[in-house]
Amino acid sequence: MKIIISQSAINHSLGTSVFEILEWLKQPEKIPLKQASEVVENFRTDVKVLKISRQTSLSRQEVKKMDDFTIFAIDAVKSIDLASYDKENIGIYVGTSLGGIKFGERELDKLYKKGPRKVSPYFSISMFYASNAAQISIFNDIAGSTYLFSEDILSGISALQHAYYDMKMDLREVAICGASEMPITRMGLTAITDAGMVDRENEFLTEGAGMLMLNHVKKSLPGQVEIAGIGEGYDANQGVAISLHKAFDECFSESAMNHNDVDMVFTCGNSFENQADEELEFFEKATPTARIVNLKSLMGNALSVSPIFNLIIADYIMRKGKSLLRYLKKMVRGSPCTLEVNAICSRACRR
Amino acid sequence: MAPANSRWSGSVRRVVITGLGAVTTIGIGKNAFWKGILESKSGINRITRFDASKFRCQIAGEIKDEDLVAFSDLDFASQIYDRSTGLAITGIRLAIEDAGLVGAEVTESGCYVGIALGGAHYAEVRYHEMEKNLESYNDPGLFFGNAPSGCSFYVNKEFGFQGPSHTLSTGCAAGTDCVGFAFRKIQMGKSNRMIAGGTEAPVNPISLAAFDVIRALSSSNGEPQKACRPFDKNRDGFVASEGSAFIVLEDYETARKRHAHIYVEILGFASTANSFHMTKPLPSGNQNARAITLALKDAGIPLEKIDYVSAHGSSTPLNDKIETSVIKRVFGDHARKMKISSTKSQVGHMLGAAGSIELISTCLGMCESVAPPTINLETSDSECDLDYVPNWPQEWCIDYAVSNACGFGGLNSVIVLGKI
Repeated sequence: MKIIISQSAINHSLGTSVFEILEWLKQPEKIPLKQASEVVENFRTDVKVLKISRQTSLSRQEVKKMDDFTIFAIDAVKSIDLASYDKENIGIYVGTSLGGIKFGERELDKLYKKGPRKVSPYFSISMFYASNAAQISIFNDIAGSTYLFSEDILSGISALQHAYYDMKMDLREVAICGASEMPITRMGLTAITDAGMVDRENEFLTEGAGMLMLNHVKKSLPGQVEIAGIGEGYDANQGVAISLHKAFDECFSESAMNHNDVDMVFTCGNSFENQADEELEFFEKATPTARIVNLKSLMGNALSVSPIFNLIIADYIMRKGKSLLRYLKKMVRGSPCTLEVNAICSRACRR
Repeated sequence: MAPANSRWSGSVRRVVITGLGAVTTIGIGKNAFWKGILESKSGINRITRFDASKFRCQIAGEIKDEDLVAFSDLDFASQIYDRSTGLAITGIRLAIEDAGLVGAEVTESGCYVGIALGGAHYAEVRYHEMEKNLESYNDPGLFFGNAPSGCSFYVNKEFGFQGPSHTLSTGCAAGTDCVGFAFRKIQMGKSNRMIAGGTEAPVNPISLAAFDVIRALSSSNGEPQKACRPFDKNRDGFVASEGSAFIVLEDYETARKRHAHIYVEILGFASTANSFHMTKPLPSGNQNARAITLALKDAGIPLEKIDYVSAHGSSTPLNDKIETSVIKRVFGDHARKMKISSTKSQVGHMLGAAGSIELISTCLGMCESVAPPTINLETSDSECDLDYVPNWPQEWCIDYAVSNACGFGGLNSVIVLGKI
């Protein structure tokens, strides 16, 4: 039995298709970034941001009831074709690191200026971090199961991992997994910049959602991308390399692949406590023949959605047989090549 | 028990509960909590932590800091992290002590932490500080104090867990889901030992305002201890409460080898979604019924063997009525032969910790052959006409039990327990 990526959906500030995003990456200097202070009132720290400018598919009435991070998720899932599936058998496994912070800030203001009776009646449902998963379920009549994982930037990957294991145990045949974030608020930006979670020199902060549909099938068809293995490691404050090692070993032992089979590594590139440097060092040794790519430095830092965007783009270029490297002018080692393997490994690792 | 119709090629291991850690308004620690259950205590009182006079609901379940001091060296007032994190650390510590784990037995474990609202109060306090000092505000701890993953971050810092560690936020079903996923991790052989449960600290203005404005909370301010009355005809909403509840789960063979005290075995877990409304339960209850049926199938236990159901029993007009119809639909005539009760009647609604405290209560009831009570059940409701163990615990042999949890957003999660 194999677990394949059958569909994907992207709702990014640069577009709603991988093709659109890759076109932007050819000319990253043309991405219309703004300073956070232009977008968020009274925000002083020097960090660049990019917001989604397109309209949502939801009505004004529906938008009033939700935070943007939920709206992004619903909009993303709209492009996934659910028609041929038994919706009682679809599980939703999604993640977020900050949740509904924009709605929360607005209601906090109201609470203190006008009192508790003036708070929005939709506040309780937007406060729940699980609201994005629950609303996806409601909008699409999906009744399988609904889970929300939150492990900062690994939230989406953790969600995918849990879907993967549930499918391996034959508890689920179809899963929608991914993440959504809306961090561009005063509190969100303060939290992220004060914690050192964005590389202000090389990254911009952005928002959006990314979703994958996974199917449990007997046999994959030519061109389909399979999740061959997943590994997780926890270092208990001993450093990223330890957790990466554990995750890497587990991933490869599950996949029965050799680490020399890897053509490309999409790194997490987490600037928190210099983890990006440790990560790079690890992969340079562990996968010496692979091209190492940090898409976050080009596509923006969307927190827990960034690793999901990596997977969506990896899936796209593997299925299409394209060379990602012709789109990238920075952060790539070695000469361009075409990807031919038909399996990917997804690593979940944690500090 | 292997998942039904499983094509899982690996072996499926048995999973048992070996440690319990409860931090509640009716008692801190397993023994004090159970004593509170047996004495039919209520942990609900008028809110003292802030001025609640402008709220419709002025009651909640508060744990006094001076009561926590005996169990925790944490400074709950320090605000390095949200109060829910401090409660989680205390609950996990109690569970670890109860399981008799030391040294590597702790660090090689993994941990699932469930929350519903998480760091809402931390965010509230910090937001106002930030607003006052926009130019100079700086707080490197803001992300982890506010983010749902923050609790897990600080828990891992405290205990050094090297096994799988995750945070789940599935509303009021979070505690149950955490135990369920920890159960799966051990079943699959990903870990020999997991600590799982939930935590919540919703007694603050922002959390209460969110529920108060939609009239989800009881407004029986005159008699706080009687306000939470699941299945009673005069129930008028839930009562928010703080606390944490964590369980140590182990692979059966691992537990036996170290001669651990085994409480009960976890046999099955299942979840469904109502796909209906964010706050209102599905009137037919059919997805909740499906979750119970799937969990029983996962456990491989026929429904006639179930002796006790720990109900979600939130004391809201709609939930209790629908849940009663769900139990009748799933169990048929057998519904009248079982005992059913709601721990929330005593400890209040602990949101992210509700599912796990109910599992602890069920577990202890199974070991002591006592069905925990549903207190404040004074006026019968014709639509809630099962045996809810009214007001006082009853001697009852519980070999198999079901614990039902329902979360905002229409999430239903169910765990089946069995005596070893």
